[in-house]
Amino acid sequence: MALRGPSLGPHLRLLLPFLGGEPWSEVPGGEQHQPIGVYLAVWGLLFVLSALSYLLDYFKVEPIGLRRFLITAFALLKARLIVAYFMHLRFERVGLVYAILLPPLLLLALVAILLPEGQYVATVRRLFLGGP
Amino acid sequence: MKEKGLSQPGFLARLVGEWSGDLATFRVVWAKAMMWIFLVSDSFIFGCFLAGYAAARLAATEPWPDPSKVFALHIGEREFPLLLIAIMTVILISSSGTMAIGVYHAYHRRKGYTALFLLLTALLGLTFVGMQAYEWTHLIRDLGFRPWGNPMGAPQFGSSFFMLTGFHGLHVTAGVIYLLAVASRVLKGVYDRAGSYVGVEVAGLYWHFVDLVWVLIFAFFYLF
Repeated sequence: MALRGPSLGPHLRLLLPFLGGEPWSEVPGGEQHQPIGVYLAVWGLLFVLSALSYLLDYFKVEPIGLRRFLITAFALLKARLIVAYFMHLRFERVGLVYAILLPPLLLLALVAILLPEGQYVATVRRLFLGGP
Repeated sequence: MKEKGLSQPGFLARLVGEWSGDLATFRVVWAKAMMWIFLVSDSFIFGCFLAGYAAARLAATEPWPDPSKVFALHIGEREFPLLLIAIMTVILISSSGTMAIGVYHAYHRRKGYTALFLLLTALLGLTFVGMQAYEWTHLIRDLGFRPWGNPMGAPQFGSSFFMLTGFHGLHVTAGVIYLLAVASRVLKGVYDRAGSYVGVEVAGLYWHFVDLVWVLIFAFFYLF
């Protein structure tokens, strides 16, 4: 589940000494927010993950299953970073966080239905329309 | 008041507590809650598109065109696979970074910096849309890609591509207009008079969502 872990993810925890400051601070009006260094660190991480994804494709890393697994993993990691830090979901109340994160899980059901469906259509096409 | 992280004990108790007893559950500014609800609905739209693309790709009996070759950039003699898309990704992630910094300045109510970073974000977004227009032109005019077929393989490639990237590009275009509107409100002092810069944060939520969708399209359409 996204947004687990201590108040900052371990990857950012390693960077924090270089960024200075608490993971979050109070400003007038009770808004919590992060020091600018956290934004820059997340930005940098997004670049690194994108570059790694690109390189996986560039060098056509084999087996293809491993390549696709890593590309998916990096994409989900990037999504998590964007949602947690750029969209501040770490700092919202749990009621709101779960109202946002749970409904999209329904899409997994759609994917679970559509993947076998796609395979089935391909099989039927090969049977009746010919082709590879 | 220190909010606890979600992993700390008692988050379930807090979840129940926040949803019970006739209280205001979310306790955020309504604009923020409404934007989140819109984004959840939008995630269903893009989720359905991606799932539909997966089904169409699986159902294709002809070989799927290799995006690395389709979107290659020719610089001089050499061919760089997927370079255009990589540059577009860098630009959109950068725009997310500048947006985050804009929101950071909005928290501190720094009018000038907020407007500057909003405009910078809009400019990067516009660059992205421009590159996408180039990409579409190149694909349609030079390579003969159509929503119903292409010379490089499975016809489903065109339909998925134009649907996914077209819808995403529409979101980016709308986002640029939105950002320019918010930037002009910042400069006019609308948020200063209202005593809250939350409008900038809400615009930021939308923009980061557009970036998030691109992350998924980049992974599942261009790299898979």
